[in-house]
Amino acid sequence: MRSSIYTKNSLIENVIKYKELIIIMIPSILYLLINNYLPMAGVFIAFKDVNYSKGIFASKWVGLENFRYLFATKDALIITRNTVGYNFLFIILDIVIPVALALMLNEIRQRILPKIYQTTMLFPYFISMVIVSYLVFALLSHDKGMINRVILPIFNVEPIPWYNESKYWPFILTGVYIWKTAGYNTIIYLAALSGIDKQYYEAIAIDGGGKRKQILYVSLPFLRPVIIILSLLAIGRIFRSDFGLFFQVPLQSGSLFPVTNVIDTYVYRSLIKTNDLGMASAAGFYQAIVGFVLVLATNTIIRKIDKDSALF
Amino acid sequence: MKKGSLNQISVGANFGINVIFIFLSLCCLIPFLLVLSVSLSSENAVIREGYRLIPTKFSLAAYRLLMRDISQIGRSYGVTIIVTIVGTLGSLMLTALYAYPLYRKDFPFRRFFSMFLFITMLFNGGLVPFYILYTQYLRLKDSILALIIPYLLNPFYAIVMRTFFSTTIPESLIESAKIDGAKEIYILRKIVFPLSLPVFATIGLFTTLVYWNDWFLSLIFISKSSNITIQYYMYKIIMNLQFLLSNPSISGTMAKAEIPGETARMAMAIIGIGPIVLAYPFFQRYFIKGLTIGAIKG
Amino acid sequence: MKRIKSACVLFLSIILILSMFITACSGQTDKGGSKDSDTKKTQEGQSPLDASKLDPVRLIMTVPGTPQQDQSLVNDAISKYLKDDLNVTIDLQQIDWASWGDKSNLIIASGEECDILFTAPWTQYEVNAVKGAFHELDDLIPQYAPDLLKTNYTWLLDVAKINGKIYAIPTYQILAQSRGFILRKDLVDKYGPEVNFTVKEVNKPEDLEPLLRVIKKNEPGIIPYYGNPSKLLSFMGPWDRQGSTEPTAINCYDEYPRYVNFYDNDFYRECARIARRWFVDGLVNSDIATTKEDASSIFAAGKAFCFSGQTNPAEKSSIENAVGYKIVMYPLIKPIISTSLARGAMFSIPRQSSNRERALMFLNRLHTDKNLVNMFVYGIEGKHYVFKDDSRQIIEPAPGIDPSKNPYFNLIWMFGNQSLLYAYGEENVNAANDLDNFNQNAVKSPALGFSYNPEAMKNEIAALTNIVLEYDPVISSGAVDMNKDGLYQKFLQKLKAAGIDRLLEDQNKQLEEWLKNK
Repeated sequence: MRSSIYTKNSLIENVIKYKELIIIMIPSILYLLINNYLPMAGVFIAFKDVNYSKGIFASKWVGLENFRYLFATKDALIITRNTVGYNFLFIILDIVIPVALALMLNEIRQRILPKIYQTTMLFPYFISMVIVSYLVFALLSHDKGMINRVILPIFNVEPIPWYNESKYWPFILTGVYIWKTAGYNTIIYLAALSGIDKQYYEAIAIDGGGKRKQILYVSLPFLRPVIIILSLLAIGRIFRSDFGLFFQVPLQSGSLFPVTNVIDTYVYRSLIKTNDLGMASAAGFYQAIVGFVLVLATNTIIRKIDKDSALF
Repeated sequence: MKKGSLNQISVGANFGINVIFIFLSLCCLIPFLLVLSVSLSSENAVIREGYRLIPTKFSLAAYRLLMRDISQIGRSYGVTIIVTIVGTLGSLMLTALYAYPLYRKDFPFRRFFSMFLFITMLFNGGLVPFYILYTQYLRLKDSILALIIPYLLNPFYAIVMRTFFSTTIPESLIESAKIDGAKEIYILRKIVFPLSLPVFATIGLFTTLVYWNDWFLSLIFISKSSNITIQYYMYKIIMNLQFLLSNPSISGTMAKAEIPGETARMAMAIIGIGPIVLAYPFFQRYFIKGLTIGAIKG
Repeated sequence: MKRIKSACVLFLSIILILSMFITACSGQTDKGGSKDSDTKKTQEGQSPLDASKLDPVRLIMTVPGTPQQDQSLVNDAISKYLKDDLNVTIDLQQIDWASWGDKSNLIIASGEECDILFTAPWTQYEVNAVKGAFHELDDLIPQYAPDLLKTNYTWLLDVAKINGKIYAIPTYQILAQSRGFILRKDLVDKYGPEVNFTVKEVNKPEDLEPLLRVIKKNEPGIIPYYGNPSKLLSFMGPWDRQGSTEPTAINCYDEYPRYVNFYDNDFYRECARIARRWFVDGLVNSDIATTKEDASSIFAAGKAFCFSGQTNPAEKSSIENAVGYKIVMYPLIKPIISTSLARGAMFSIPRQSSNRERALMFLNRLHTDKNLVNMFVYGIEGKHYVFKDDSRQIIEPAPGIDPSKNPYFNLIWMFGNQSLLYAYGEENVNAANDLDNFNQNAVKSPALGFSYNPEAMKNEIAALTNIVLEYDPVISSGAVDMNKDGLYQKFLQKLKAAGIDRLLEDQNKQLEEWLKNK
């Protein structure tokens, strides 16, 4: 990663030539070093059997022992499948829906309306997952929930024990996720769209192109780098999940575990009794490494296609 | 506002889109109204009858519980506001100063620093080293700074900002400025910042939300002083309440049914959201299509 | 002009970074300072019993609880009280329940200042002790806390031992626990006669059923039995278990202790069958397997006839006060004392404390000095409380104190010796005696004092916990028929596959060892 690969100048020459930029970066670099890199030494906890009287660094090295519980049982496959499955789906939905919404918002003739819609669609973001779980319960409770009490009887359907039937929950959780995050994500795309010079649209319009052409040839290409970057960053988090979504909303119902247990919830439940620092740290490291490798791989592919859109 | 612009969509399409958004807005608004309604109900009524859009028995007990200590509330609001404003401004600065060099394609260390940043997004040593750093080395226990510093540079936002720079600021502008002999600081001030108002508004908004919603930093760093944020203050009340509820021997003379439980949670959400929803329109005006750019080119 | 302005931008960020460093540097010197005085104090610990030679020492005491407004006043009063003989300044710090879990772990892991730390099995006492978080106290007790060896509960010290060493001093409080149903008295009086309802010393859940059915029939707005995943039938048994997700348990009624698979057990199956019957017949709330509601709150709102809880007679009046109804206690077991119950509240001395001896001396006082204990719990006499009846030691709030406005009141079960407390109100006048009786007459678990070291079985426990959380609530709440689709069999199979037999083997092996050396 040294500069010699990219430019003809030597390292020293580059530092001198770009010294202004480097100086600009110094406060932020210092911040990262202190706030992020110093504590990173704690990554070693994942490989140790921590004993407080010896201190973290002098504790016994146990290699990969702390990682075993993540792979030991058949549950390991289920939680991995769930985590990756949902994240994959969410990555796609996190592009398609907010982009569509942003494009539409931009077209509304009355300029005051998008502001109102944006504000209201942001409300779900503020509601914590605990409260969301109450709201979902108000809908899906077996005898008091609105769905069973009001909606199903209209279609002459028997009440469904929602919290015991796992087959509905991928849809329910996805729905909740979109409801909560769409408004928030739309903002990013709206901000991006607002940076497009109107002349580009007008150029196409003058040539007789309709909205469809404008979107295809101006808006989307303009948004592409943003879409790619956000997806790439999301791939880096592919082994992580929104804990509140998968733990609180299903009310921790055991019958739903096959579709709601993800790596983060599994780790949490595993460590309730032992509270083992090493095992917790190992889980985090495992998630980080997988994400890192995937991002490197994806980034390399992207570099080949569109060098400027890559992360690095 | 331009009227009858060449490029507007048809009235029909406009209507259709509006219908869609009205529906979506209702989907987002109704649950919120439900939360509001429950927060204004008596706990007893909620237990008996469940959630209603209009409270069957109106009661301010939940709010009274949360607002009981007015002086602490005032202080916590103060703390939260200071933390949010200072944090957001500081964060915008640090983030922009890091993102700008990353955006410059001719910067030879671009890849290195991108990687440098990205690694911090994925890998971290966990809560314990973080805590030790702040309490023992930086000695910031109980300090407001401990509520600000941890979020000053969010790698995710830095990368997004860099991407925005590359889509909205043409390299040619920078190049011509450099040919004219401009210093980097000058370029930042005169070219980059004005063109990036939407970006700063976005990242500024997100950062504001991060600071405003945070209760975790108060939880771990503040123990003796009253420098806690409003979110943590309310969270604390509710958690202490829960404990009292499940231990009858100490709840004293207050009858259980009257102690706000669920209603308090809802009230907490409302109090937490309130100010931000009011502040959001402030950021919004930067998202309007077609603002800004024209004046700068040239 | 512009150059000055742009310089400001850079300047501001540098200021930010510098301020961080300045705080850090000044912090370092502080740290150095306190270290010096600490080492000085350790040296004086040579002759502790000679009070006149004691240097002043500040003890930081960290407990969970709601921070009390007047705590610093009370701390000062306590410090003044102890100045002459112990010469300590007590700094009692309460950590909100909201943060206790995280913060107590951080205190231990980061080694920050703390001399006395609350601990209990439900806040990881065993785990932390084994990981070296606390000082071993055995050698120090005879010299610095001799009174602990002379109380009527000295056996409690043995119970606190792990691998033969004492890592914390247990508080003497209500140690025994009786489990059963709490019933609403007015409904019992109204419908009880219809079904010849009686309350025995130990009852069976089936005996409650007729009453539940009558109530269901006649009171449509009331749920007969309100349960939630942490308060189900299966918890009301004579089992020594470390928490509700523990896959194994010891039966306290057994003479010879043995770990068994809690879920492959007649007791469990019977509970599941009864629960299923109750569920199908509508005698329980339909969300029993998932609800997070506190059962007693539902009861207090008048929506439930009974719920499961602790049927300790000593707590009857406080429960009645809290729920606003007169109650009848319906115990399902004789009161038991298990190891985790006996360790319910303890004070450890974390390894980072440099004032071990003095802390221990202080704890010694906490178990014997009536004034001290009452100061911690009730506050300052005259300011927070006054004596209503001197001879019987009954107290009430001081004039000017409004009981509903959160007056100074700490947790009664936390500090030293609960039987030393004054009686708060007339109804508690016999509390101290009742406490002793209740503890003494309880059935002691045959494995009382044994601590299992889970080091070798960490992975199995991790997997087992997940499986328990997946299957147990639905089965033992009756929400799903355990025989449907072989659900129960699947549960047992998965437990086996995750290594429950290995766990049992390891546990029983350690148990045998301990029994031999007892």
